[in-house]
Amino acid sequence: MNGNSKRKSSGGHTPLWRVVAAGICVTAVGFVLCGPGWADAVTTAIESPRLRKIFDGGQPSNLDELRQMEQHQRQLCTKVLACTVGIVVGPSHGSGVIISEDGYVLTAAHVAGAPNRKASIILPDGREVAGVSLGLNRTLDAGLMKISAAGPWPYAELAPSDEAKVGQWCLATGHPGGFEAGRTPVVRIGRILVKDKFAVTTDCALVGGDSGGPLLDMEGRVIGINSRIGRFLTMNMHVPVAAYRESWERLVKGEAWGSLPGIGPYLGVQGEPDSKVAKISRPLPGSPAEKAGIQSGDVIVAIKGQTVGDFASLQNLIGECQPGEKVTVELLRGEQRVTLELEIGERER
Amino acid sequence: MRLRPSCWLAVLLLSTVAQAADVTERDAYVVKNAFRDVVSTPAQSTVRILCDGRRAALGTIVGAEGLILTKASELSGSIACQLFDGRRLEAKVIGVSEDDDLALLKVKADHLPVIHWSEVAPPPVGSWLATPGLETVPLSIGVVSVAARVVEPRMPALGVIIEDGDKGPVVREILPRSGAEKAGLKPNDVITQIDDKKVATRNSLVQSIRGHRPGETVRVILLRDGKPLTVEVELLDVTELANGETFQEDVNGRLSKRRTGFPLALQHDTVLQPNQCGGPVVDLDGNVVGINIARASRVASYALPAAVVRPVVEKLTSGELVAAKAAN
Repeated sequence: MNGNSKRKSSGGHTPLWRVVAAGICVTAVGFVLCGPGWADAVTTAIESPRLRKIFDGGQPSNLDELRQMEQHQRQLCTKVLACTVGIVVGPSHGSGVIISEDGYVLTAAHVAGAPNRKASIILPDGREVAGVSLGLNRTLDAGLMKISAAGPWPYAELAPSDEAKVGQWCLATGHPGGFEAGRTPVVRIGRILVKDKFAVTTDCALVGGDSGGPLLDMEGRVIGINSRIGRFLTMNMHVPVAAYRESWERLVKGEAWGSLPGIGPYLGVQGEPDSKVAKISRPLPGSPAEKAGIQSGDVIVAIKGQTVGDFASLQNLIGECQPGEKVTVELLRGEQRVTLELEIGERER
Repeated sequence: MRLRPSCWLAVLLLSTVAQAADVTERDAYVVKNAFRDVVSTPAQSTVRILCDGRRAALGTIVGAEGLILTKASELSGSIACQLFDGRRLEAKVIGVSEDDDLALLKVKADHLPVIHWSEVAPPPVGSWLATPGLETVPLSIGVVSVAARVVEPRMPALGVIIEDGDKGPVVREILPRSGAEKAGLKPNDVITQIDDKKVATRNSLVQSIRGHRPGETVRVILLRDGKPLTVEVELLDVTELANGETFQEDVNGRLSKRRTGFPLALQHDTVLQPNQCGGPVVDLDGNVVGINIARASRVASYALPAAVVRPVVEKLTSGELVAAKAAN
C-alpha cells in the first residue's frame, strides 16, 4: 500500500448484519497448524495463578496486581497487533484477524459482503496483499476470507467455544474509521458484560471500521469478532467464536446462508399473477431488476440455472437467495433469449 | 428497522439488554479503587476549570506560584479554578499556544503542589493510564491504544455550496447536518463578512474559512432579501460532512470541539467527557505522561505527551507566547 495514502471508512453501501439464535454445538476443530510455524501463533501464556484469576473475571485490588496486569498486557499487545488486518472489499472498509499460518482470516459477514469477492488485506505495517472472501453466515454476521499470497502468517488461535465468561477481561483491536497509514491497529481492553448464543457484549468501545477485527482473551485467543454497537459506550457486540468453529466446513466451501431478522432478499418486479409463466408487468423504479436491465414484458425462465414456472415460483426462488448475492437471470424478450446478471437487493420483511 | 447508510457498523439498538451489573465493567468502582495509590499525589495537582460557573475542563498545576495549564479551546467568559483543597480562585489567561491547544492560567496562590512529569518515553501500547480527578479514585482509567503520532488538522466547512454573484458570494445549497443548516442559513443569502473580514468573492470566503479549524464558531454577516443579518456558525470537518457523519452524539457520546490538529497525540481508550479533558494523565508510578487534550471519538481520547507539553509550558511561562486571542 502506498504509505502516504490515508484510508478512511467510506461508510455506506454495506448491507446487513444482526444476530439471531443458532443452535450451536461445540466442535473441537483444530485450526492451528502444528509443526514448523507453530511459533507464529500469538498465544501468550498467563504464568501467575493470581493473574489468571483476575483475568478470568476478577478485578485488581492493588498497585502490585495492576503492574502484573500491565506487564502481561504490554507483551500481549506487541504480539496480537501482528495478526490484525485491515480489509477493503469494494466500498466496504473493515478489519479482520489471521487465524491460521496459511492465511485464513475471520471477519464480519457484512464486511465480506458475499462469497468470492476480491479483497485487499492490509497488514499492520501497511503492506497490502490480495485476499478473497469465502463463506458467510449472515444471521450471526460471521465471515471468512483467505489471503491469496503464501504464508506463513502470524495468527491467533481460536479459544474453545464456551469458555468465555461474564466479567472476563478481553482485548479488542481493529481499524476504526478504516486503515490509516502510520496508525497500528487500535487496542482497547475491557470486560465481557453479557454472553449469549448471538453475541458477546463487552465495554471495548467499537466504531465503524472495527467490524471483523478480533476480540481476544488475555492469552491472545479469539473469543469473538467485532460486529456492531448500541447506543451506549458499553454496548459493543462481537460474533461468538462458536459461530466460526461450528460452521467451519461451510465457511471454507464458500457457502453463504442466513439473513438478518426482518430483512429479506428483494428483486423489485410486478408480475401478472394469473399467468402460467413469470411475466414481468414492470420492474419497479430503482429496483435491482431495473438496474439489471429487466424490462416490462420480459418472461423470466431461470434464476441461477433453476427453471422458473409461474410468478409464484419466481418469488420462491428469489426467497432462497441472499441480499447481495449476484445471480444469473435468463429471460425471454419476445422471441429473443436474454441472459442478465443481477444483484439481489434487500427489503424489510 | 432502516439502516443508516453511513454507519454500517452502527445500529441504534433501543436495546432491551439489561445494563450489566456495574461490578463486571472495566470502569467499575472496584477496579478504579485499585488505582487509589496511583492518583493520590497527582490528584492534588489537578484542578477543575470553571467558565461562567460551568465545569469546562480540568487543569494541571505546573507552577507553585499559581500557574495552571489547561485546554485552551474550552475556555470562555469568566474563568475560575477549583483546587483539590476546595478553594475556588479567579483565573486569568496569560498565554495560549494555538498549535497545541494549551493555555496557561494564573491564579492568586502560592506554594501550590506542582505535578511530577514523567522523564521517560511514553508508555507502550497496553499500558495502564489513570486520569486523576479531585477525589481519591481516578476520574477514569484506560490503556494506551496507539503509540504517539501526528494527528493532522482537518479542513473546516460552513456546509454551503457557494457561487459568485453581483453582490458577493451567494449560497446556492445548504449541506444537511452542517453548521450552516443549524444556524439557519438559506439559499440566496449573500455572505458579506466572516468575523472581521469582508468577503467579496467565493474565493476570499473560502480562504477566510480555511484559516480556522473544525469546531470553531465564526460570525457570518449576510444579506437576506437585501437586509443584513448576523449568525454564528459552527465549522465542521468537511470529510465528516461529506460522509453524513456529523452530529452523532447519540452513538459517539459528546466529543471535544477541537479534536484534531495536534503535533503529537498519545491515543488511549479512557472514556472522558469533553469537560474532563485538559488535565493530567498518569502512569502507574503516578508520573504525568501527558495532558488529556481531547475526547476524539467513541473509541479514542488523545493526550499530548509530556515531552511536547513541557517546552510549551516553558514558553508560556516566560511570556514568549502571550494570549493569542481573547477567550471566545
